[in-house]
Amino acid sequence: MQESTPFHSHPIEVEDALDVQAIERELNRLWTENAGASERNEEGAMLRARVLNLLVYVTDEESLREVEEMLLDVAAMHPCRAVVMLAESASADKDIEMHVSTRCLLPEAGGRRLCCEQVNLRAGGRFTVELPSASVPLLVADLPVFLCWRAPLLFEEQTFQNLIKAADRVIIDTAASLHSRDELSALARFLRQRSEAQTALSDLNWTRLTAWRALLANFYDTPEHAKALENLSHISIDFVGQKSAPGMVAPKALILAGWLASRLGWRVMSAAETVAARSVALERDGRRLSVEFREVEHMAVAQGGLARVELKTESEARASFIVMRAEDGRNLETRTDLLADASTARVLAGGDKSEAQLLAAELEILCHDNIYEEAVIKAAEMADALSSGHTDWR
Amino acid sequence: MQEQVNENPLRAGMRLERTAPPCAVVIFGASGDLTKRKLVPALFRLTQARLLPAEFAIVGVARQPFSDEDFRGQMREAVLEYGGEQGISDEVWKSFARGLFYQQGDFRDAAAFEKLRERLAEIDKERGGHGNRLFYLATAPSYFGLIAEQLGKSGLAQSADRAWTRIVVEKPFGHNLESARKLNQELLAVFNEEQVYRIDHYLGKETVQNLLVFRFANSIFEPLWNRQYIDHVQITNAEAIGVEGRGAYYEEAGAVRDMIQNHVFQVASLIAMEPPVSLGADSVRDEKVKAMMAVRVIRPEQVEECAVRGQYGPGYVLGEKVPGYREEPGVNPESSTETFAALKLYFDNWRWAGVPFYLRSGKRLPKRVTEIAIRFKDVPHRLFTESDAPLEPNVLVVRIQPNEGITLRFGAKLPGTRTRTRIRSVNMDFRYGSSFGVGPPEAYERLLLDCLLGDSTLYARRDMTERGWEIVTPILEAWRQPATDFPNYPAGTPGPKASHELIERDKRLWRRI
Repeated sequence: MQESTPFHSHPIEVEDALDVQAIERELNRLWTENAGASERNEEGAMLRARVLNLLVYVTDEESLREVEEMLLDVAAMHPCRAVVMLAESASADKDIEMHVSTRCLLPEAGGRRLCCEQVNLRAGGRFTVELPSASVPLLVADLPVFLCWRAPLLFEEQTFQNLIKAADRVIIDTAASLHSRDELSALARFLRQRSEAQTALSDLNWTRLTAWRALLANFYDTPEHAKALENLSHISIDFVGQKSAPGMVAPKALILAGWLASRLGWRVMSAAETVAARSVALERDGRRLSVEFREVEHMAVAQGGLARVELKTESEARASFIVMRAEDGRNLETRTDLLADASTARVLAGGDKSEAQLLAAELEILCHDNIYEEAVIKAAEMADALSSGHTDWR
Repeated sequence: MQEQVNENPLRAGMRLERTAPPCAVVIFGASGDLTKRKLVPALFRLTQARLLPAEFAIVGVARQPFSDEDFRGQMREAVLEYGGEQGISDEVWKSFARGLFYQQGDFRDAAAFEKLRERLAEIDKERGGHGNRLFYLATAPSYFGLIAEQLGKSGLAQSADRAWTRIVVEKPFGHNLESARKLNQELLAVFNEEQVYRIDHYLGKETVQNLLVFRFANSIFEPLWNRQYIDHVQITNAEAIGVEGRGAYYEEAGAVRDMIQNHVFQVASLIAMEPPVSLGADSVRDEKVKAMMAVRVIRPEQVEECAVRGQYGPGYVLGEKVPGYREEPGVNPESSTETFAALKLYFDNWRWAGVPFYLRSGKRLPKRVTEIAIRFKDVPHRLFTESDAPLEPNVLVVRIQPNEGITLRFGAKLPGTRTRTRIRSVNMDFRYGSSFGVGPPEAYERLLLDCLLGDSTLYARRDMTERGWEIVTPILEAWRQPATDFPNYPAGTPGPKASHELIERDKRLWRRI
């Protein structure tokens, strides 16, 4: 990532009512000072750029630090005004404090210094409910608004509801925020109730699946493989468990399975559990397919991550399509074994992207991602089936 | 044409792009620069971006007696040097290199093509290919016709059942109108027009593609895009480098053949064209050709008035002393080859009647820049007569390289409480590097993928290449006469004095390079 330097950070007193003009004046003053300093230090002209608004909501200091580190990398790809809210509800009452800062990327030779702006709002106790009304007026008009929600997923909670009304897209991370079947069900319910006109939802856990999905989709691209996959009988997904959700199939695994099932038109029928794995039975046009989830250990895969996915057919044209994380974690490997032909294998660079890269990818999308929404709804059905045992889900 | 699964249900949605079908890319001239610098690095990056399937293969063909392993080793170094890769893990490289093969062959030898056919069949069997073939002619132009003929005779030009075969031809496409027509005939004797992809890598550049988006995805610019509001258009393609050791090639080419007839005309057609009815390849290319058909061909007696040629002498470029063109290796010390050309063209149609297009291209100019500048007309009535400086016109600049982006210049009041209104020009900038973060992809990646997907929108069509030659033919004919004033501009300066006179006699000025 490019080198960066924070230029100036300045606290602003917030009186009884938020003075948006005062904040804008303060930002302008910072820009003017930065430009002057830049000129004095012969560092080249500055370029103030904003293509979007990024609201970020966190609930603890550690998350705030992670966000601050990530923001500059994100801003390098999407120059923005970032409004970061730290809501410490469990702490003592503390009225909103505000800090305004600008941060700049050092330019390449002959280039201009690209600078973005950040407003941090912090509140404690009963004052946290005021954060949305303090942050929304700070958004730059005519630019899209993204809300990066890094707190527990409480869809009915007032703060969440107030903020999503201002946002064009909400970005969550089910790897961090989904710890139970109930939470997955709540997410599915939330998605079912959204209309196209309402705020869209992104999930960084879904973004992490892009490489896996692309490689799995690749198997279907040739007619011979497509034929074999029509006779799909078994899917197995190996995942690394999560300490924060012991016993639960990792959300990433469920969402991937939900994606496959929703795209291929499979219906959830029942679930079963053995010592080695949990499985869900799917049905389509009288044919059965089993999806098996196996918790494994893998040194180079983070908790909740995928280690291996295999699609198998058991008909006469036996075939197996595998995508897996290499031992060192840096690459993804694929293998195709067709009964009649030699196997084809390959290795592609595919290390996990940083959170900044994942977020930057989501900031490119403004519309609803119906594929994701359908995948989550189907994943929730599978999780329900697994949780309730032998249940015919309709 | 073999079908991919048209409706791969797993590809639904916005995140998973179409991938190319299994195929073999055969590169003729595999030992040359283009393969190392552009083609294989682009194919490697496409593979890592998961846009090429596992069954993909590359077969390099050249005269040198390399083995598969030799070729793989060379390409690994090339990808590291030119591919922008910080490092490649052994496993990733080995996986990619399994699809790299080399076939020694002389293009004049029919037996070499038979061997190639057999080799391709083996590779298909080994890798699960489907008989799809892309033949890439990265050789000297003099071999294009011969290779096409050999491909025809050996049966390689014919597609296997349900497979496709395509051929990509690099520029220069012909040396003049006659040779371009001859080359087209030679290619079309073996291939259909739909199979022929004439590459112009400028069309793969993001900003060039952005011209279509800029003009036709916004409603505010198109109403101004005509003779009512535009005073003139300048297209500049300036290079600071010289011929870089390719003197022998450049002696046969010159600025008009090397740049203007192809790249610059492609860009001009995108500025001048009418909106297409769709984004289909032929819809877009129909409008581009239609625009070029409106170009007023310069009569022989008008060449001196409408065209200027130049050749650089010794000078200083970016702080370094450089030799003149005639001192470059491979160049005739009395050469009359132009390293600079400037033209004034008119598009005789309702949209552009009376609006001059000034085009210039040259080597050893002060810096590297390729840009289009649309200079709007002055205001019809000047209100701010007390301003201390003349009002500057509005200018829209589309920068193709470096720093791809678009700038709009407009006038704004200088802040202050003076009784007199003072106006200064300000720039509104959009840059790919700063508005969309990381830089745009390499042109060849986009073009190669498009060709593999069967999309010829960004490739030149037969009629476009021939029309380009028709326009420049009178100029090239006139310039057969030896130039008596060469060299006529020092390296590092913006071109010969006559090029300034070309535009200044119209009371206009070139933009500063």
